[in-house]
Amino acid sequence: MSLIGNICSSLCPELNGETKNRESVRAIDASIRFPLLSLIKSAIVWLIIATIFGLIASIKLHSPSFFGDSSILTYGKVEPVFWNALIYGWLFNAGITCAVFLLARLGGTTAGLGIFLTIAITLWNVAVGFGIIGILAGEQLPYQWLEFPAFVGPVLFTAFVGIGLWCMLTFRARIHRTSFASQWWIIAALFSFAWIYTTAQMMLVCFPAQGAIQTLVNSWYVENVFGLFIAPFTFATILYLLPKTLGAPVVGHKYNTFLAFWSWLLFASFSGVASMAHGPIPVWVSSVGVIASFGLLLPATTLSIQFLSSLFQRFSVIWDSATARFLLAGCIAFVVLMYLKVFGALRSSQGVTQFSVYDSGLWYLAFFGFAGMVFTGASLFILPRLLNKELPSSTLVDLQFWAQSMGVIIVSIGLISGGEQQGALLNQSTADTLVIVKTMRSSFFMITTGLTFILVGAVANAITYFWLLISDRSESEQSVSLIKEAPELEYNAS
Amino acid sequence: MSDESQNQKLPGIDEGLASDESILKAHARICREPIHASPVFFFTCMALITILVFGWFYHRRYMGENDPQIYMHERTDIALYRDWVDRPRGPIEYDYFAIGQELYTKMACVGCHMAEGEGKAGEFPPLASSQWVTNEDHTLPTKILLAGLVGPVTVKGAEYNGNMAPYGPALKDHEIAGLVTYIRQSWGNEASEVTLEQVAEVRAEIGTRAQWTADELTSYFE
Repeated sequence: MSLIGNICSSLCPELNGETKNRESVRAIDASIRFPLLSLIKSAIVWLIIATIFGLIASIKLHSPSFFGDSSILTYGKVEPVFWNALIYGWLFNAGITCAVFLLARLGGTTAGLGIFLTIAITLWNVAVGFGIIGILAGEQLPYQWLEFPAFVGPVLFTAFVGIGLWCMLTFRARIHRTSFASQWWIIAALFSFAWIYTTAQMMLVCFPAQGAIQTLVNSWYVENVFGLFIAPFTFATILYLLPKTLGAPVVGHKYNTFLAFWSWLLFASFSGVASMAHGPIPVWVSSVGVIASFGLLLPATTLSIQFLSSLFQRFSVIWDSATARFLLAGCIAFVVLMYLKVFGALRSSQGVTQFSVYDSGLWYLAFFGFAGMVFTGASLFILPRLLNKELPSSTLVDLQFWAQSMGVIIVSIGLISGGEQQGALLNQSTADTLVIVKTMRSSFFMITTGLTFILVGAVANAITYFWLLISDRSESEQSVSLIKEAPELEYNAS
Repeated sequence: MSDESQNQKLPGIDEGLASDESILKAHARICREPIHASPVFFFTCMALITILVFGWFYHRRYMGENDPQIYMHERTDIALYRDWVDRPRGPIEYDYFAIGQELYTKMACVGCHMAEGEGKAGEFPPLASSQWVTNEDHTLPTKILLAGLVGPVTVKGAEYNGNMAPYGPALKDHEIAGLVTYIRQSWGNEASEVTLEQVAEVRAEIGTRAQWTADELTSYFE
């Protein structure tokens, strides 16, 4: 019974000795505690599920007989399960966690309708679960990252509309007259996802477009899942957590506000069609995509200089704060990713990398390295505030950080350099398939190694979460607010 | 956790170093400030110039020479494609006999008039050495093929009573011409070739009409 008691007291702590400001912030946290905990829990569980499936898929690449007799676990099913669980399971839940926390905190008032949000989240996760089962049962659709069976789409969209409505209502109910850059990114991401998901479902599932247009719509959607949905959530989180953990405003924040925001939305929404270069579509379509991809150099330059120089300005904090460390890793991954994306979209690069594993290397870097690191850092920041408990073990957090970083580095190097090798071999007129497969084996071993590291990190993450939730409360945790009131942000106009 | 460490930093909690309200206020103040020289501003401008220059040259080089119908991006390929589109084209030369030979087995013809044009007794008249086919006036077989034939008909002294569907709506002029040429020059028949233009003339002349009967066509044998 003490276990249940611990969970109950975790969920409803009664504290005293607080300042008035701190009390109102704690009231905000309390109003979103339950939905946030369920979001973080779903994210953690989906991450473990996705990583396990990714591990099986990567082992199959170098040892094809692994689960070779199982008709449920063929490569063609395991691979889409991995990506879909990763995107709609882990990253969606983790991104919405940050969005909900940021909107409630920046709104400055307690958020209502927590039950409504929880129902929408549950519906979303149940639908994702059914989608995964549908893929394993062989009902998958042939479109990248839209492999869920057709009946899942409307349910996912309904759940998303619920979540989006809650976010809009919370944003609407804010007490401050101004809005912060994070809020813009979140709102933009919510509207973009509704747009790209309905468009893709309409043009691929309901009324399938004919011929090359299908591939065009699909590549547009795939790029936008990152560019218009996951990346904006990540930017929002970074922009909020940087001043929060470093105690200084983001360097050159002004240029964020307009130029970076709008140019990112403009260019990211077009950049997906670049991957159709050399394809059976009029050449101007893919050229527009390449120019848009190159245009991402503008927001990427602004944002990466802002993020990195803010972090380096207060470098000492990074060693004290786990959140800031995760942010630093995410920002470095962002710089590398954008360099590879911008110059990888050019026709000469695509001539080598187009049909290789290079692209999935970029997605690993984007999802595990950039978004994953930032969202994990944010959840480590959010959890103690929700439960008024210390993280149980900083060793576990360190383990998670290094395991995830090592995993991302190994997988990305394996896939990106391996993809270039593979593409160069494929381009030779005398390409021998067996030679290529043998050359790629070392890369595939690197993916397995890297994903094992990532799995260790994911398990450490899960242990932290559940330990935090069920552990005994110390005396101070029961009575006193452990979170000190945050000081005012000092800003001197230069 | 002992009492004296109460006021120290807790390793398990990342301190918030700025309150939410002050973040919003600082943001609003920064947005109101005029733009001034700073490293971020400098590099943003450099990036803007870079993408403008890149975009200008890339769109000049890779837009398929502003033709939305072009699918290839290399200039040499585009020139080759243009040459192919503009290649000199004379009138099309049809091999009517070959067209007819292919169609004769592909369409229903062979089913009734048989592979050697011998027909079926009582039902479908023969085509081989039939006056109806090898008639000096090529318009007779053309008319029958275009509009069909129904009712009793006498061919080579034998009586036939069948029903042939009109093929005018289904086949193009050169296909009709091919079929007529084929039956007029096979199985020992040695009549003249029929061309596309001749078929077009007949088609225009008879227009859309019901199937012929043998009585309507007796004028050819007078």
